[in-house]
Amino acid sequence: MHHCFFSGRIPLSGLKKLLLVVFLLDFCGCSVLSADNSPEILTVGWLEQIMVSPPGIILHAKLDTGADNCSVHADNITSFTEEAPDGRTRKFVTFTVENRYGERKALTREILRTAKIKTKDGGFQRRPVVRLDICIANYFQSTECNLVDRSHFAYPVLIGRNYLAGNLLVHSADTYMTRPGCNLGE
Amino acid sequence: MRKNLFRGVLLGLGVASMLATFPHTAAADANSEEMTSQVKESEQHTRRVSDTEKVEVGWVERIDIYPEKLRFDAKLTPGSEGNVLHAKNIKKFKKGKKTFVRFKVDDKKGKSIQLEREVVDTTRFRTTSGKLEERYQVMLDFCIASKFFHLEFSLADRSNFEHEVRIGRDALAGHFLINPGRIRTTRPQCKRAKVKKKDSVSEES
Repeated sequence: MHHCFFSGRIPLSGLKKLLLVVFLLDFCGCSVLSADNSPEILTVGWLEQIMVSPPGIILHAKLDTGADNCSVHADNITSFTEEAPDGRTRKFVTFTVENRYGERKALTREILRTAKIKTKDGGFQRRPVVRLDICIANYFQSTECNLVDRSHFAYPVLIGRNYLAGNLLVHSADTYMTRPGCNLGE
Repeated sequence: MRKNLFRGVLLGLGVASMLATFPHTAAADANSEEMTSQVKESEQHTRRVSDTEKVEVGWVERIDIYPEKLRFDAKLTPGSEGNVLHAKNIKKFKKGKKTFVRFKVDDKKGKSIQLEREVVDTTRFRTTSGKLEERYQVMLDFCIASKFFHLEFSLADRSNFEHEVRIGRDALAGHFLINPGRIRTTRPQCKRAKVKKKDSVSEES
C-alpha cells in the first residue's frame, strides 16, 4: 500500500505555484523570513576594539565573515570539574587573556562543549567552548567562543558569524571605526 | 497512484533542500534573540559611515571567472588580504620564456574543467611535515555583483573546505560591505567591456 501525502483536495498545481514562489524567494536570498532588512544595522570595520566584560578588558579583534564562530586566544588553560549538589558534574576552565597594552586578566568559565576546529593543514583540533560577554561599539552579545592558541596571530580575538550574523555589517576596508561602549543597565 | 507518491517525494525533497539553505538567515534570528540587548545609540561610541556608493553583499556570493565564464560560490573574507582558488592537478609548464600553470577546478555540476594561466608569482614554503612546496599566483578576471576585477589569486591544492573561491580585502575594499547574515544576494552582472585594472598594492588601514 502506498501513502498519499495529500488528501487530493489541494490541487497540486496550486501547491506547485506556492512552492515556486517560496523557491524563488529562497534562492534570491530575499529575507522575507529573516528579521533583518533594517537599514539601521551598524557597520563596523574588519578590525575593532572589543570589550570582554566580565572581567572588563579591551581586546583587539578581527571580524571575520569567513569564520563560523568566535575564537579567543587563551593562555594557562586549566580545567577542573565541580560536582553540583544534585550530583551533576560540571566542567570549568580557567584561562588568561592579554591585550596589546600588557593587561592580563584571568577568567573562569563553564565549558559548554568541545568544538572541532579546522586547522590550516586540513586537520582538526578539539577546543573548549565557553560563553563570553562581548561588546562592540554599542552592541552587546553574550556569545560562545572557543579557546585556541592564536599567539602567532596579530589579533587575539576572532569574531565569527555566530556573533555578527544579523547584527553587524562588516566594512572590508576600514578598521577601528568604533570604540566599545555598551551601557549595561540591567 | 504511484504518480502522487512520486510528486509527494519530489515536494518533500524540494522543501528539504530549501530548508537547508534557510539556516543561514534563520541562525541570524536565533543569535539575535539569544541574550542580546541593543542599547540606545550613543553617538560618541559609534561612527556611521555613509557607504551609499558601496554594495552590501552576503558572506558568500556567486562569482564568474572569465573568459571561461565559470560560476562558483565565493566566500568573502575581509579578514584575509588575498584571493584563493582551490584547484587540483596543478602542473607547471613553460611556453617559451614564460611559466604557465595548468590546473583543474570543479564546476557547479561537479565536472572537472581544466584551466591555463600564466604564473605571476611563486611562493615557496615548508609544510608542517617539512616538505618543500610551491604555491603559484595567477591573474584572474572575475565578476561579483556588478564589479569586474583583474586580480591575483593563489592556487591552493584541493582541501576539505566548502567553498572553492575565497575573496579577500584586495578585491572587497572600497566596493563591498559584508552582511554576515546573508548569502547569495547577488548574481554576477558585469559588462564584458568594463575591465578595470585595479591596483592591488593599495592597503588602507
